[in-house]
Amino acid sequence: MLSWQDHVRASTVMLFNMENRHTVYVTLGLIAQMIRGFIVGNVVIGIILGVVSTIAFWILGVPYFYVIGIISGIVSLMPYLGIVLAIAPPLLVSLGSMTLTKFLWLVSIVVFSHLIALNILYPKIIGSRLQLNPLAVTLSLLFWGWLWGAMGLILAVPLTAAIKIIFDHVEGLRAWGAWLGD
Amino acid sequence: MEQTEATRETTVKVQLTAEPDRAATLQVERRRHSQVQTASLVVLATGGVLTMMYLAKPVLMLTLGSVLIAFMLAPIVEICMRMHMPRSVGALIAVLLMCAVLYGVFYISFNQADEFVSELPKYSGQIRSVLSKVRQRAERVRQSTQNVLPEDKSEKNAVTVRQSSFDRFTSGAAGLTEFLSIAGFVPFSSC
Repeated sequence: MLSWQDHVRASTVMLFNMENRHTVYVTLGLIAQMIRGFIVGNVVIGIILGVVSTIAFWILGVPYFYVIGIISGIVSLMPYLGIVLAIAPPLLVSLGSMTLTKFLWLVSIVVFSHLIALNILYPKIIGSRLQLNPLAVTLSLLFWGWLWGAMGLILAVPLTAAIKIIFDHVEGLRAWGAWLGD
Repeated sequence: MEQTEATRETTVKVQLTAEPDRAATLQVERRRHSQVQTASLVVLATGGVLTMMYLAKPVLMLTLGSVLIAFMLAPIVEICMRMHMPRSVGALIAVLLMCAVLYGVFYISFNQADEFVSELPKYSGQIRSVLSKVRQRAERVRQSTQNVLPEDKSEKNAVTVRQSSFDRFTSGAAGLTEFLSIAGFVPFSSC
């Protein structure tokens, strides 16, 4: 896939009629750009959350704070279950050895960083590149999650964004593209 | 004779006026028929695509996953190509780099997980003691509430099996704790 990327793109364009080739080329380029933006955005937000969680857990005295912090930061990006999965690892390793105040601090830090990431960082870094409305994202997560399970949840957003780009470049499907858009 | 001719004329006139109406009706029916046909084809096609996507889940997920990984590694390949290396060599270097990074991450995580698993009995003991403390407190609250509230006379002779709300909570918490512990350690089990 990696070594034949250019060939795949060029030969895919050649599958279409002469009049549609330019549109197909532009569409594929936009999809590639969107996927790149999605991956880079997720990695950046994951790193930010991981670092913040690690520092917070270190200050609170959570055991294995560096591994737990990185795991908590990365799983926090998961839609719906993210917040529960982000709280679970630090909670489990520090239950019984932590005071109530520290425990409340831990939960508030995880919840706060999750909310900041999903409501400010995510729309700022990724949302502008995907151009999907929140309802479309939620429905797509439900649909792909139902169809493909956990992997569907991971692939839901880029898949729906790719479908939206295709809809935007097909005459009869532009209305659907607009429905998915923001 | 004249009357029959007049009747024929009116019949022809009626036929002539009725002909376009029938044509229009036929056209409307044909249009409706084609609309129904298109709608059923769309429904069938959607069903077919969904079934295919469900059945071809491993193949499609593998392909889409590899597309995502290819896009992640593309910048490394581009850097290699700028250094006048062939694309295939660049791809090989990118994949080897990714494997090295994954190995490093898994190695560190595995060591930590191993250490954690060896200390797991201590943590489960702590969790159990915390839960039992909370349970005892809840039981005390329940008993004090029972002493304060007057007992219903109609229930005097009835044999009731009561489950406190906290009992229900803690029994549910066992399942929840189990779920959270499994969910929390998915990254560990994957290595």
